[in-house]
Amino acid sequence: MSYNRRSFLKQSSLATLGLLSGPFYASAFSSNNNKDVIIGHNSHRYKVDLGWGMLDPSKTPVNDCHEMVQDSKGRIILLTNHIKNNVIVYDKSGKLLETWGTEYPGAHGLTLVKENGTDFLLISDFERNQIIKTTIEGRPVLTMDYPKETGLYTTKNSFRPTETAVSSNGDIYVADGYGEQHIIHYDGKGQLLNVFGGRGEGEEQFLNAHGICFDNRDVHNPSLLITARELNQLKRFTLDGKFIETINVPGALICRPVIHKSEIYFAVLRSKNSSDFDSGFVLIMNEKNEVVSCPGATAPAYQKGELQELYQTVRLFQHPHDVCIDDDENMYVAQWNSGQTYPIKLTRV
Amino acid sequence: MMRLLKIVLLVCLFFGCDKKAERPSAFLQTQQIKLAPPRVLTTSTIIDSSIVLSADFKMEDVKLRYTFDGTDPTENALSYKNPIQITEAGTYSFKAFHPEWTPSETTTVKIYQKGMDTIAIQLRTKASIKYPGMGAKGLVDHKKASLSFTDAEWIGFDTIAKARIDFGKKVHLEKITMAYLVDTGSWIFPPENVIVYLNKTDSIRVQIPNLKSDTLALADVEIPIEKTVQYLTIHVQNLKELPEWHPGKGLKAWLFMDEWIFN
Repeated sequence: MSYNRRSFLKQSSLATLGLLSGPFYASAFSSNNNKDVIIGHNSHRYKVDLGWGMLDPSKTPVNDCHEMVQDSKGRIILLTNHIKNNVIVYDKSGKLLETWGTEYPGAHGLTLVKENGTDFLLISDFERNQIIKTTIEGRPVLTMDYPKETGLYTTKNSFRPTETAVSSNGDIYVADGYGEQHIIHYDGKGQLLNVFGGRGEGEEQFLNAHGICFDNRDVHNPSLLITARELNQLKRFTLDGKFIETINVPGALICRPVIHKSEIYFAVLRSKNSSDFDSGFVLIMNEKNEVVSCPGATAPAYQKGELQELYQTVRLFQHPHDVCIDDDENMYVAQWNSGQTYPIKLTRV
Repeated sequence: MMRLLKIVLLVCLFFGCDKKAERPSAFLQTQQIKLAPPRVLTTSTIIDSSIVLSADFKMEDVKLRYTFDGTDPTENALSYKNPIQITEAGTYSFKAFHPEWTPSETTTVKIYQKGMDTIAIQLRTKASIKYPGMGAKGLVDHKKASLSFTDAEWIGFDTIAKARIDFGKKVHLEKITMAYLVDTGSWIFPPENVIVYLNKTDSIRVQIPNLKSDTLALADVEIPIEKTVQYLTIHVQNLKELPEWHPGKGLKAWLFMDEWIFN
């Protein structure tokens, strides 16, 4: 009876996009009312390209598109839990460059690590209960098992990691977002240094510690940003695991924080109080961690310093799960449980 | 399917569904996307004297329209501007319109007339220990629950629910409305059937159709009675086997009820 992330509606993309019920067949394109969709607010507005990255599903299929990053060569790397090709590499135009990976059934978190000019990837696989570090070509170089040495885990099955973050000194932080909600701090070789967080609604605790990132925007005070998705909160911790602050995003089930320049971008899985499950959107915070734009949802509004509840306004996104912002400021949105669709590209206007 | 649609869409965009040959755009068009359904809040869904309905849609140029006769609101329907005071039971439907985007799905709220008071109710089977709700009294307290199964107004059964009702005197009973939760993701389904025993020989049975797909909704079944009675025995059968399409197929479903309304 508990909240089950696998149990959401498998709504057809068809119904969701409303293509058949809209005036699509009634020569919609001759209507003056028909315009390019522009979503988002203030400084961050986007047009929508549904055709980007579409591949032949009989050759290069996806299940859930979980996460995306851009590597040092400017390529867009997608992680899916389809074991025919867990990793799909695109160029920015959406052309397929290569695929690899057949052994990551619970491929969920994807983090780019740059070590002395070389790219590596960290894959969080919650079904294997492991973190796997690979070269950019897909060769595993480090595998981290469940953190038995913390004394907080008796079996590997309670460790279901969703995300990693790497600090500037190479330390690895793992968010056990589908497991026991601990944040586990290792050195770059995988030796345990610290553990914090844990399940609960206390300020230093999490419900669905789904995403984590290293926030180096203030170079003198680097910190960790961690989502508590079920609580609609973003929490900031010091690098040694001391709680600093909570940033509330009412109504928004934020997946993981993605820092690009001075902003933080989030895929929002769904709107907390919407009647539709597939009621996700995208959310952008500025350098002061204030929400400035919500593509696909209500315009952010603050009253007496409190952000008002956000919710989906147009039935464009289903379950956004991650965003990737490229060096042209365009965004790619990977979706969970969207009927095996490829990512959506948002072109900044 | 999505891919097919994307292809159809792109073909249309590039080769032009439009004979006037306006320059097509490679980007998604507003009329291809629906607005989200409006959010509707009520002070109560059981009406004694009056309740207040309010709708919400924070988006520029969106107009909300509504009906109260169960029909789907059109662009000519009443325009919603401020919260509405309602004094009569009925079905209230709201829809969002915008000059560019496709209209939303309809949000429908059903408002029930308050049922009879002062009923003695006794459960003959036990509610789940985990979801006892407010006990048997919660079924006749004129209070509806929210869409969340953790709401304390819900009483949950994983067996048949049997109850004995005593009106204290003979009353003319027109109908019984039994309200339940559907949250298939949490294994909560409509009952299979309801049997109302009016006396030793007379009973009314209502079968509830099976669900075909995942649903989250407040729902109800109406049982026409049209008899004078003092006592009733009611059996509400939980779904004994989850359907083929559900991850828990073959296992039993939960039955969550918030209110039995006797009119």
